[in-house]
Amino acid sequence: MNVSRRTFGKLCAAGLAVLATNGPVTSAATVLTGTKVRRLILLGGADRQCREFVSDLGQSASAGADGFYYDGDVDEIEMVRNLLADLAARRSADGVRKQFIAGLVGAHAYSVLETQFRDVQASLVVRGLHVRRRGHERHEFLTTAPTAGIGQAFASLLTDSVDAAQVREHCLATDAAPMLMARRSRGAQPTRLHALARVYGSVLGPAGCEAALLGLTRSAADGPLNHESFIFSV
Amino acid sequence: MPAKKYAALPPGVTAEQFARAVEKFRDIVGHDNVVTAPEIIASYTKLMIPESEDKHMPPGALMPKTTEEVQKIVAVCNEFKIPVWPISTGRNFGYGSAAPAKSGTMVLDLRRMNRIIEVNVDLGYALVEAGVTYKQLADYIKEHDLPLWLDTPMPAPVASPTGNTLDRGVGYTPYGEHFFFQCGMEVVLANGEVLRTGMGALENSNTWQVFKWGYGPYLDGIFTQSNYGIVTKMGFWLMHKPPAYKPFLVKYPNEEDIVTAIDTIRPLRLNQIITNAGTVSNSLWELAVTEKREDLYDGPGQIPDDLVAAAARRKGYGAWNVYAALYGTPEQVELNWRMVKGAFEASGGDVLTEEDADPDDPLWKYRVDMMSGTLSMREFSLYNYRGGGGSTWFAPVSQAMGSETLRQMRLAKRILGEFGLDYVALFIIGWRDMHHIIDMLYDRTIPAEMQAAYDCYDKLLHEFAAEGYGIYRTSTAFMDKTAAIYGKVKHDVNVALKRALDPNGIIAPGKSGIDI
Repeated sequence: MNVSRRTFGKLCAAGLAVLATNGPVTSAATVLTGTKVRRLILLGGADRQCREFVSDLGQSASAGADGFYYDGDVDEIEMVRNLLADLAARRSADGVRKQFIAGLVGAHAYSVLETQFRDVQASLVVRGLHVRRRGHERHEFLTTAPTAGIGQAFASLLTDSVDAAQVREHCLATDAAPMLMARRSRGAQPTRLHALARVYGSVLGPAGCEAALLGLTRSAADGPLNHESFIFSV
Repeated sequence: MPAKKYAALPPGVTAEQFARAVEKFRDIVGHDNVVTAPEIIASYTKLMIPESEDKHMPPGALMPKTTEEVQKIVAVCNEFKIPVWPISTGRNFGYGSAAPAKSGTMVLDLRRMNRIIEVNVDLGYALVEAGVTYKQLADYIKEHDLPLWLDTPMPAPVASPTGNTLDRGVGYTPYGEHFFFQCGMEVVLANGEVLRTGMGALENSNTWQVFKWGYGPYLDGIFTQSNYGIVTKMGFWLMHKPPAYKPFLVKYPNEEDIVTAIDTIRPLRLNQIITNAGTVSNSLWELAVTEKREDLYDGPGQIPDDLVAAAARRKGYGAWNVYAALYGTPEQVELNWRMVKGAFEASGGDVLTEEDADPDDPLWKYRVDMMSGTLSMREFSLYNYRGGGGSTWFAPVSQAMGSETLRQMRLAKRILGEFGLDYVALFIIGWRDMHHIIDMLYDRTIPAEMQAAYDCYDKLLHEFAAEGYGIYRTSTAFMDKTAAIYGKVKHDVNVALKRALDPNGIIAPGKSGIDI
C-alpha cells in the first residue's frame, strides 16, 4: 500500500494507464474474487488516520489495491474527476462485474468529493460521518440494501472499547433486513477506524472476511475524528 | 426484500404516473440521463443546512444536454404536474447544495450543458451554457493563453458562473458582484418558449453580451433567486488581466477596530481607489480555516473571547484582518498604494504586502489567489473546524459604515452564543454596502445541535430583520421565512409573476419562498 502524498499524481496517472492498457487483471487497483473480476479503488485523506484506515480496509477486503491521496486541493479534484470518469467509462469494456471506490477523507474534502461521485452517477453503497468532540464520538451511516445493518455491526465492535459512542444508521431501503452480523471480539478491542475498516471490508471483500474481525489490536491513540467514509459503486 | 423504488414522489402524482413520466423523460434525454435509484439520488441530497434530507428528497434527476431537451422536459412536466429543481452543478454548499426546496421535486441537473460558446478577449466577456464550471473556464483561458481573469466564489473549481450568479453570489476581484457583471441570458420558460434577454431578443445582434438593458423592462433580474424560468445560457463580463496587482493585508488588534477598518476602506472603495470586493475577517474565521475547534476549546457553549484572542495572538492574526488589492498599471498602483497605505497606517492598522507577508501562510496565499481569480479550495477547511458536516450561511446586508459593524457583531455573537455556536464571520465590502457573512458551523450528527442551529438561524433572521437588516440570500431551509421578512406586497408580486409565467408551478417550487 503506497499512499504518500507525493505519489498521488503518479499513482493516479499510473492507475489510469494500467486500466487503459492492460485491463483489470494486472492493474494494481483491482482484486480478483474467484473468477469474477472486482475492481477496488481506495482513496484516503492526507492525515494518519485516513492512511491507516485505507491500509486496514485494503487488508480487510483482501485487496491488493493501491490507495490514492485526496485532500480536496484543486489539482486533486481534477485527478479524481478524471479517474472516476475513466472508471465509469471503462467498466463494461473491461468486463468488470463490480467496481468500487472506498475510503476516508476529511470533512472539507468529502463535501466536494461527493459531488464528483454524483457527476459520474456513482451508486451509494454506504456513507459514514465520524465525529469526536469532548470525548464523545458519533458515527452516522447512510446505508443501502447491501449494507443495511452496518451501523449495528460497527457499534457492536465498539461496545467495550468506547464508552461514549453513538452510532446511528439511516437506510435508504428501509424494508431491507440487516445483512451484516455483528461480531464481538473477546480479546483486545479495535479502534473505531480499525472497526470501520473491518465492516467496510466485509462489504467489499470475498466471503469469510468477517473472520478478520477477531483478534484486532487497539492502537495507543486514535487522534481527532472528523472524517467521512464511503463506498460507492462506480 | 426489495429496496424502495423511488426516494420520493411529486405531490399528487402516483408511482404509476411518475413511472410513465420517467419513460417520457428517457425518450427525450436517453435512458442513462434519467436516474431514480435512491442509491444514486443520495448524492443529490447531501446537505449541510440544518434540516433533514427527508425534507428535500427528489424522486429523481434529469440531465439534459441541449436547450431543446429542456423545452421538451418542461412539456412533460406540465403534462404530469411534475416539478423540477434546476441546478447548474449543484455546488451551493451551505445554501442547500443540489437538493430541492421541497421533497418530490425532480432535480434538473444541467451539468451536461457545458459548452463554452464564446470567450471574447477584446470586449472581455464569455457566453457559456449553464453547466460550465469555473475550472473549465480557467482551463480554457490558460490553454488559449488569454489575458483574462475570472472572478470566483469559494467553491470555485467545481461551481459554475451561472449557478453562482443566479443565486447572486459574490467573488473577490473588482468583478466580485457577479450579477452586476452578468450580461444576457437564454431562458426556457415554463411554457417551453425560449427567451433571450436584453439584446439577445434581436435577430443577428452582436450586442447580447455587451449591453445589458435591451429595450423595455429589464428582465434578467427576475430570473435570479427565482423560479420563473430555466436559465440555459448566460453571458458575463471578464476582467482584463491588469499589468499590476498588489494584494495587501491590514491587521487590527482589537475587536472594536472594525469600526475604524470599515470607515477607512469606505472612501477608498467608493472612489474606486480600492476596486475589489475586499474582506474583513475576524480572528475566529482565520483560526477556523487553519485549526480544529477542539484544539482551541473543549468546553460547553460558545468559544470564549479570551481563548480566541489568545490563539489569534499566538498565530499572529489580527482581531480583524482586511484583505484587499490594487489593480492597474504599475504607475496607477504605485500612486494609489501611497494613499491606501497612508490611510490604513493612520487608522492604526498593521499593513502588510507581498514583501512582508509569509508566502507560505495559507491564509495570505488563498486570499492572494482569490483576489486575482485563481482557483482555490482552501476556504473549505472551515468545514473541518467544528466537524459533523453542518454549515449554513447567515448573511445580512448593511450600509458600509463602521457604525453598523459593532451593533451587528454584538447581536450576532449574542444570539449564536445562546445556542452554543461560534461567531465565525467576515464582512465583504461592496461599493456602498457590506455583506456580513457568518458561517454557522455545527454538528449534524447531534440532533439537538442541528435543531439548535435551525433555531439560531431563525432567531438571527428575525432579530436582524427587527433591526432593519435583511439577508441577501438564504438556504432552502429558510426561503419561506426570509420571503416573509421582505413583506406581503413583495411576496404577492412574486407569486403573481409566478402564476403568469408558470401556472402549473413546475419550476423550482419554493425557491425564494415563491410557490403557488
